[in-house]
Amino acid sequence: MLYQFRFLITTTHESDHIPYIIRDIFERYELQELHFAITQGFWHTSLWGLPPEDETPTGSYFLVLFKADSTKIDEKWNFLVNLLNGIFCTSILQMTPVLSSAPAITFGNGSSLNWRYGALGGEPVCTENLKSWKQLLPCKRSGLSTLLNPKELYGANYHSMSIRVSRSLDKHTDDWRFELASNLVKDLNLRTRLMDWSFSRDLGSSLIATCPISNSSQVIVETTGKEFTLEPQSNNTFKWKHREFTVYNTNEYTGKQSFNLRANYLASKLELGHYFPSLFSLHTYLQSVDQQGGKIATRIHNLDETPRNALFTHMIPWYLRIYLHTLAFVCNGARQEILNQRFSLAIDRQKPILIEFEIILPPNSICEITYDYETAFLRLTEYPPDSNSGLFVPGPMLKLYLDEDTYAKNATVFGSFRLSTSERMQKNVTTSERVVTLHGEPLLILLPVPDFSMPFNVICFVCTAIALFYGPAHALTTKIMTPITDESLATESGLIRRLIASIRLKLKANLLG
Amino acid sequence: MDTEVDYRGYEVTAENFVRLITGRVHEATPRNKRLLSDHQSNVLIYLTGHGGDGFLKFQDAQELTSVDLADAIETMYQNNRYKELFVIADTCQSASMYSEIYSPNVLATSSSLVGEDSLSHHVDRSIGVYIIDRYAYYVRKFLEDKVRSLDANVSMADYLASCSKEECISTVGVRTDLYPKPPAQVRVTDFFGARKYIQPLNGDYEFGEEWESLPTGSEERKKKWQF
Repeated sequence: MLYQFRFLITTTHESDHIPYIIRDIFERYELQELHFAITQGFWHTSLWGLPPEDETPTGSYFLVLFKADSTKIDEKWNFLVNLLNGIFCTSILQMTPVLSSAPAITFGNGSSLNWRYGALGGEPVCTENLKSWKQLLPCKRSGLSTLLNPKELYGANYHSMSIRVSRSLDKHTDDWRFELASNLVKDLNLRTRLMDWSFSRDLGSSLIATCPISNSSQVIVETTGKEFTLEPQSNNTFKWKHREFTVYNTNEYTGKQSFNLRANYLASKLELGHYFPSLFSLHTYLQSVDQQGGKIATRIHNLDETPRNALFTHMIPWYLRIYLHTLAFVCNGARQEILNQRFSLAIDRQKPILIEFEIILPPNSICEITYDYETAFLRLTEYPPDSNSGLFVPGPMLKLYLDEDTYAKNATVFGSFRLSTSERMQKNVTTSERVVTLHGEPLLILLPVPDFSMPFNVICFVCTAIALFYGPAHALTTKIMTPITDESLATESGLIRRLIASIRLKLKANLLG
Repeated sequence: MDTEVDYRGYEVTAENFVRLITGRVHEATPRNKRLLSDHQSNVLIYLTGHGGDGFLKFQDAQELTSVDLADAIETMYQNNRYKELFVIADTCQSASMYSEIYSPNVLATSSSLVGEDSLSHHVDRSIGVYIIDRYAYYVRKFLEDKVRSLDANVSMADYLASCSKEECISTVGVRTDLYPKPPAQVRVTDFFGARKYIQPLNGDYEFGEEWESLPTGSEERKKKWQF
């Protein structure tokens, strides 16, 4: 069961609805776009279909576009990461500099080098993040954001929260687009063997009041191929390319009582039939791993009949030294070409390696991208406190270019308004292509760690030193040196007799001293 | 469900804690992660976790010693970062954590004396771990029952006696020699609540040229954050 919340504010002039802190950041750091997300759980593309907008990887994800003429971008990036760390109560300071990079071709505008991208695979998400995220909305006590309750959200399979802000500055206009999105996937309660759902059961509350300053506040339910009755009923239905939706304007329902949407399925048992395998899916894993190194593999499925252009990006921290000569792209057993590759190599302790290249996915194919790595030793103080559980490596991104029809048939969720609104903002209608981003799983890699158990090491070293020192000291201090006289040796003839005589002499000396 | 957690995960280190209370944070640290206290603030420090005679454990990898804490508090005092300070240490043998403090206006308490262990209260059978300590449990009960509003007439002496020997099993330690007022005359909400004393001004006031030209330092602060 997927719930998607989207809060969108667009203005064409300076407005109070955009939070002051966002406006201040954009002004002070000369930004053009900002995209920040934290996600708990993983979106299984092969089971659930294409990810809904915003497509976010597990953990934290931070992407920023600086204005074309900005200077000192890396310092600003460092300050920005700290600032967002404070605003959202997260712990993303490890992003700079070990996991931040400047992608050249991944995010459009191949010529501009002012993108900065950072990601952390293991960031936990909890109540304090939700509260900070909700604070950015103008309506805090009414409206659809009151349906987000921490207890239900953080027990869910998948929950992501993101904020996406973009600003376009022309000579006469100052267009802002500020969007907060939250995606939530909840399991059905199989104990009751019913597929019924409702706001009060899944989200923990019902809607009491609509946000008074919103232009529109709607709840859209997809009813394609589903046999249930919604309560309260609505006649407002909407069709979009073979899919059907029912729309509720919340202010019509929240006047007298609270709005609790409920679905009652007509069949009283579970329907297990409807499973649409997704046309595209991505899976990242470690193909082989040992203490010294391993092989990272990404498997891509393209079950479509047409070849697809795609762009692959992976940012790997410096302590996994990637052997780029082992980079291989194999589809259905045959090696394929890699077009337009951009590698930004790692510098120890300063930047990660960033692999970007374009590929063409053949129709009906299973492709694999693999490369070998070798692990490096970190300095003792650089190990995290729980280094025996491994270090996270963020997953790769695959950007696919789909035409409108394919997207419509495969999209999980109706509506990706970004393209149309930004077209309106830039006042030119261009592409009929949609860009879909698939993210791979973050990898948990065990680095070779030193033995942190201090007492054991101390005991070993000290005992060894004592043993090495004690033996000779004891021998020197407790034995008397007596010279061996020549007569006793000279009388014996033959090697063996002389040997036995000298041994006998030594034994006599030991007994004496 | 309304808490703000500013430092979490790998950022909780002894170094960050000392930086936070002494104010010597990195330039890029946001306001959220700074202790913005001045000479009129009452500051509450509550340390809990595993510890021993003279130290508190951080993340199984570092320790904060009582001497470090005492020196950090002295730095706070010399930089006028608190008016009154209340330190609660809730670990085993936690009285050792406050025994080294030597700065004035500090009231300190702990959940056990040196040589005693602090004990846990009860176990959650479904996850199999003890979920709260005895001191924390009884102190929380006291605060929820007795301190219901910012005007509550409950004194620090009541708080310091809120966990008796039968309930806590370990002896609650108290240090009052550095604190000028008797705890019975200090409100609990002075430390446990954010209380602002507001006095309305009635009258006509005129702000002249001299007032306008007073330096505020905001221009320098603004410049520092700009590139």
